Amino acid sequence: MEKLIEIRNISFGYDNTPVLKNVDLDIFEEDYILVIGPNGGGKTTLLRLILGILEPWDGTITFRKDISERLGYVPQYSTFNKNFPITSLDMVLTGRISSGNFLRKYKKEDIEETEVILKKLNLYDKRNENINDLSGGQLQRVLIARALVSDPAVLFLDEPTASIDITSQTNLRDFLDELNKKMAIVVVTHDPTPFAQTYKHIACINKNIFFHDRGELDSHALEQVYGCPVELLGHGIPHTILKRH
Amino acid sequence: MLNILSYEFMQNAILAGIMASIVCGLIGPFIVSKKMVFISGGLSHTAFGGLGIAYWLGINPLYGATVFVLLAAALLGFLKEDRTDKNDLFIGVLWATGVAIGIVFIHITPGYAPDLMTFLFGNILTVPRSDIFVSFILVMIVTLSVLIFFKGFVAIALDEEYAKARKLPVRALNIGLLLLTALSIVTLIQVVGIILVIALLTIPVAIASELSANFKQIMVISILLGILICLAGLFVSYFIEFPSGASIVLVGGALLGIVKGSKKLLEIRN
Repeated sequence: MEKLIEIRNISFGYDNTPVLKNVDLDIFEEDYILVIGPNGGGKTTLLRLILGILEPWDGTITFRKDISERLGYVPQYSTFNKNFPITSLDMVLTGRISSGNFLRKYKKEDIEETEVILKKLNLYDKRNENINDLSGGQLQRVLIARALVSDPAVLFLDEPTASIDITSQTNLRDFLDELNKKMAIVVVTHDPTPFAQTYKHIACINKNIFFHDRGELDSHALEQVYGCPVELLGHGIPHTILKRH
Repeated sequence: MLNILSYEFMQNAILAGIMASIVCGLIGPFIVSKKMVFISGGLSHTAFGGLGIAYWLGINPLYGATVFVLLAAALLGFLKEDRTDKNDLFIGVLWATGVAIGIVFIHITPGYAPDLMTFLFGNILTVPRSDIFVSFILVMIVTLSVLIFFKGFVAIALDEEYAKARKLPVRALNIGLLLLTALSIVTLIQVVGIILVIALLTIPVAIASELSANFKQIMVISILLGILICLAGLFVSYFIEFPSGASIVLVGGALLGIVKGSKKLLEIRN
């Protein structure tokens, strides 16, 4: 499998307070990484650094040549401007905007591609509705659709389960599993349980990063990250995230 | 009734109203959705500084206002903090400093300054043809820029983080939007005056937002509403001799009240 993104020795902080220190991470083709850690541990910050929203204090992030513009981003539910009046279709279309085409009008293929994705995500009927009139699950799918129309090689999701119900969570998990055949997936979450059956690696972040293969994470490693004993349950044996402890 | 249209001052007033409405409809929806109303108020008031200096130099006050508002917008754009609370403070300082500069220069200019009331409160009935021409150029710049940068402006207004992740020139687009806001404000100052500018940037958009949830439609409806409000205010002002800027704003406010009220009534009945 080819390496898509190589992160080396990244440090970053807000004002003078460091949030991330000497973080290394590799993202490979078809990878499925869960990024977990306590609140304020730097999970979202790491995502924003990879996506170029923030500039690191130190360190390098290298992308395989063809993918630096093919990063799909599903931000936290609450980050976009809910004041902005826009329909689902137009919101998803903005995913086709890039630095190379923002001065040009949308092309026919932009709209066609958007409609294909909307159909795939069961949003086609809602295409002319204002995003503020959608349910949490529907809005979540709009945000995913917006990320998918840019044909991403890596899909980053920030707390995708925070605002949706259990059924939507199961659908989301199955959908990501399906997508994982074509693209790498990185999920930032405080609650890894919904993804317990499908993830391939886990990265624990609390200023530093601890990277684990599937199944090797134990309570000791988590204590190191969270700074106190924690308990995580994976529902249904054998799909536990943690070894029995 | 129709013969009043043959007066040149009336023709100028109508043209000024239409041009003001166009920039309001194009820029207002961005200002409202990006919560830049206070910024617009601040920029508008810095114009007073430019007016004062131009008045002291003996040149067209409109040129002074244009330069000052553009400078203030550029300064705000370059210093813009990510933390909005710091922005808030900075806008307040710009606002007051602009007005203070204006007051000082008017004070040291010999003689009485009758035009200045016009700039504070607007008088659409006294806009000279030469200023109409300046406005026309400003409106052309604003219209072309919004058409060219529309996708980019939508991207930063809807989701600035996402626009950054898509590698759009977010900072440049934000500065561009501020500069266009500045040019729009100059056009509006002639019609409703410095103090009432934010009314025209917000009231048509507020009414349009009640009627549509689609951004492009809101822009078009805002332009049409702006024209309706400006012309209605203009005639009220002409026939009952009310100050024109205030008449326009009050007509707009009343219309907003009527639209909101009828929507509420309809909701209750259904």
